[in-house]
Amino acid sequence: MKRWAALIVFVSAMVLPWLWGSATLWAMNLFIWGLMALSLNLLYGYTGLLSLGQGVYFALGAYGAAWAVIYAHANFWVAVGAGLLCALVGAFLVGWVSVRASGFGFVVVTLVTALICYLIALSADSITGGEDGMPFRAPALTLLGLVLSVRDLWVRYYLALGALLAGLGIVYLVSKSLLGLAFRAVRDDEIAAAALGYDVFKIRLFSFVLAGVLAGLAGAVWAISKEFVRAGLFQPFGAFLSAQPDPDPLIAVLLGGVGRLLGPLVGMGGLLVLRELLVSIWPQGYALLMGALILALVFFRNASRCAAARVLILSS
Amino acid sequence: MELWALTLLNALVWGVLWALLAVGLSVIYGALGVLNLAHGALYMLGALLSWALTPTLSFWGAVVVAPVLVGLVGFGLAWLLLIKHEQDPLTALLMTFGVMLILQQLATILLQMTTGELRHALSPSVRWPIAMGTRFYEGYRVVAAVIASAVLLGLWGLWSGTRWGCSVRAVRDNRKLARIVGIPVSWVRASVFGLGTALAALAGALVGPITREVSPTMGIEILLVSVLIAVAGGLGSLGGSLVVAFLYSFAENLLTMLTDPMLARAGALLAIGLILLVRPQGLGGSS
Repeated sequence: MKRWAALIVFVSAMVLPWLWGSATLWAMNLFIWGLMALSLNLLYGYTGLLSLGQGVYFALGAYGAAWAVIYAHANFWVAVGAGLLCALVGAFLVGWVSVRASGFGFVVVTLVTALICYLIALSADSITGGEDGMPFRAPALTLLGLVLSVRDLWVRYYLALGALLAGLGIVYLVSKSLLGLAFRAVRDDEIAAAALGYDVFKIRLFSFVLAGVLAGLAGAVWAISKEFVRAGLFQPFGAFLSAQPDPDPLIAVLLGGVGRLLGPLVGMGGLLVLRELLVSIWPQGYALLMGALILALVFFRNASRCAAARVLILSS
Repeated sequence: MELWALTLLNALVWGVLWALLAVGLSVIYGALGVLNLAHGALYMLGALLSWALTPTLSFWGAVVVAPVLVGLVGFGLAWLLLIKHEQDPLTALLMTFGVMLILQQLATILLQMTTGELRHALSPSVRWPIAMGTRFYEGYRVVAAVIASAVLLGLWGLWSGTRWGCSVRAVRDNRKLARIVGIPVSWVRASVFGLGTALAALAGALVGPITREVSPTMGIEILLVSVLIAVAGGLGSLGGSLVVAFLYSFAENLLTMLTDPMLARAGALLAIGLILLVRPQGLGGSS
């Protein structure tokens, strides 16, 4: 049953641009931001590390790709690789410091990293384009001898879909492996995991770097399909500040279900629908609704957990 | 020479203001176990309210009234969201994040409806220039710093000398025991949150005439910097926050003499982050 449903979703995603052209752009946004939510879910849902600065690795991925194209005239695959490498190095350096702290310390380090990167990006506006951003010409995608231009919407669509599927595959494999179990062990009880011989620092660092690379992949694909990067990508809470607000991955994760494989995708779909609806009626209402949504989701999740605990206690 | 004097003076003034913000965060953490991400939004609310009230109440009246109003808002928020239902720390953090978004967006919507613009230049009614050689220093900044220090001193008096302060410390150290000996724990915790937010609002009201501008997003960078100061100072420790606030302020202002303000801020944040690397629990925190 589940397999059939997955197959139907997959096939309809493959043929969507040919059957329902007007939804293509929307679905492409869903894939890119869904990958971002997937990355956050890996970190928060599986390993229990709440990062509010995941946008940094998205931005590093985007800038890595853009710089490779601008300064080295790299081809498509090298540009994506450069984006991934930038995100990987950044995530490793930040993770080395941040995962030592847990709870609030980790949240604060991720947030402040975002602010530091944003300030540096603003001040180095000759190479980042600063607040106004910087356009570049994306190289053509070469695949099996075909040369495809990313200016075509359907090429961008399949690019985003491919990135998302790769991300989903990685997260699925990790969640089914021993490593995924280790992530969850560290999330649920750090001390017990350490007592069982898991190296908590290494496991957290690995989770952080993997999540960073996934975010970097989303960023690289985003930059190449928009042919544009801007320093605002680094900005902490930047998703809520621009006139055209980006969907926030954290809310998508909360909405779709923390620690579930497909939850973030479903949540991101919901958010994008909400954004479409609200932007045409009442643009300012979007961020307001997001705040209310966080409160409601967190509140009811907690309430339901309390109820579940009560039932358990009563029945035991 | 004059430049040095001005920079050091600025560092002192901003040190006190940062301390006001970080101490508020730190006390809230001590009593509620929550890192308050809405702190920046409440700071912004203080600045906006005092800007809006200035025509009717005069500047000094507004500086007194705005923090009181924001403090009441904070009291209510804490009571509704954090105290009536016990939350685990990360959940509570997410709640304050939601509150931050709502307050910020409400301010945006209200400003756009009433004035049609988001950023408002603020021309201070009081400046009191002090001549320093060939340059002038704004006397208002010194007065603002003196007010902030007086409030901090008053807070220290409350903290160490009154029955309320004693209850706050008891709640911080052992909530269950505090309840057993008859301390009204919920009330104490909500009042601490109210007081902390009032401090943030006071900082906002005082900073407005220094930065010469109020806008709904003015609290975001402030929040991140003061959160780092509070964490590096050791959450729950007032002395630690105070020391780190001055360290940060001196680092930032001295670096401003070398590079542009954005890099200076980034450098100062990195320097304070190093404290956390060496002492993960913060300067005054107990492990």
